[in-house]
Amino acid sequence: MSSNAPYNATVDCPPTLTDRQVIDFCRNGFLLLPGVVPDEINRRVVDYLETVNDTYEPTPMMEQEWFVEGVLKNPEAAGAVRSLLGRNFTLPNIISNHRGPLPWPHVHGWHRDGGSLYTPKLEYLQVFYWPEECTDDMGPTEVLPGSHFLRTKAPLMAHYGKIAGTVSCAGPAGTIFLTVYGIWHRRTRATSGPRGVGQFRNLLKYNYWRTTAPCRDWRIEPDCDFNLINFDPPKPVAFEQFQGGIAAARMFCWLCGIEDEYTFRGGQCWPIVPTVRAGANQMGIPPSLKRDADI
Amino acid sequence: MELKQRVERCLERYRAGERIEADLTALLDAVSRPQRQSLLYLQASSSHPYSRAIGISIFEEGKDSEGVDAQGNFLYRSIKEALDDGWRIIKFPEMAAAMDDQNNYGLGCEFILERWR
Repeated sequence: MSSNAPYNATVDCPPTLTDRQVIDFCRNGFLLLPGVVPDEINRRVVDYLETVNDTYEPTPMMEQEWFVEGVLKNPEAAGAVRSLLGRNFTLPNIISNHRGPLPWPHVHGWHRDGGSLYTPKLEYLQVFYWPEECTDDMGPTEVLPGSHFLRTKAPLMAHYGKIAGTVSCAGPAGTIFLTVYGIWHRRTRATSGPRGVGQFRNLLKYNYWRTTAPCRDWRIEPDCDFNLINFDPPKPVAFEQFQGGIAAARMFCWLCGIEDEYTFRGGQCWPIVPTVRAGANQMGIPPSLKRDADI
Repeated sequence: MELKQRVERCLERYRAGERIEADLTALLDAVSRPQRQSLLYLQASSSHPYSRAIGISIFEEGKDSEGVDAQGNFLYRSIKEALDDGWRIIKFPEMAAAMDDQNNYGLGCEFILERWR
């Protein structure tokens, strides 16, 4: 049966992220956009999930133009996706719903999703959307910032419990958060009683894909001095000193399309010395990112 | 309740002239039961045995495996605090990952501790 859903359709829109915001995404591995989807769209989504398709894969919702326009092409979310994946990124072809009962006494195990790769390349994004408010007592997803650079295998993470420095992705209705696919995450315990229209926690999840080579075509900040920016993921995390920042810088260079310009030479070279005197270039900074480089 | 506390309570009742046969029978059952191993995983920022914990989980009968108190704080903030509470290290951080010095593996330096009860 044919479908009018724009599965894998390519989309373009204005990028919304700046240089510093793209670097923050590389450092953290996620970006939270609270309440960006309008309430009217949120209500229609919840109604659809309650009355039309309450499965764990309500992909046919993409046949609804209001969903595609209001959620998948939401200007702030799609603008962030455009910034990170470049022009003509694709829309998803699968929509999952992590629909959970409330309350739910168990904490899900820490994991990275199946199919994860450890790479500086950002070929796709995993995106989540709360159509209804999700508070901290409703078992929101939590993520470990910077963990997209921490290598392990999901079955070897099952004994992990509380980790310092995690971030709750709780947010008001219409919140969207973008993640590097391999970031460590889990569903937390839901202590609340039933809430919302369906008395469930609905969390939609879908992927966008890159179709063009990476280049620095997001919102350029002419005053951004890449010598003075801290690339390290937030602490406390489990990195040997500077290793997280080096990995984040490598990802940023790949996104800029200057991967070939960057080799970490060791010692005190870019990006690990953001305390360098203003006006000086760190040793080893890629030529395209030097002060006074042509943009 | 810890075995020592149960014996102390039994002794108090005996001194108070109470009948303690049932208590003694229960104690006998308790000491006859095979002890069970409890496990504590602490991930630390370095391999130093007193280093600060960045991750925790406990696998012990009757305990939440998250390893936090009612305020969400770690039950043990360091390896030393766990040692002081009677835990015993049975595995020190894995050194094999050091062979690849340009990548980071797992969650810091992991200590595995046990106690029997």
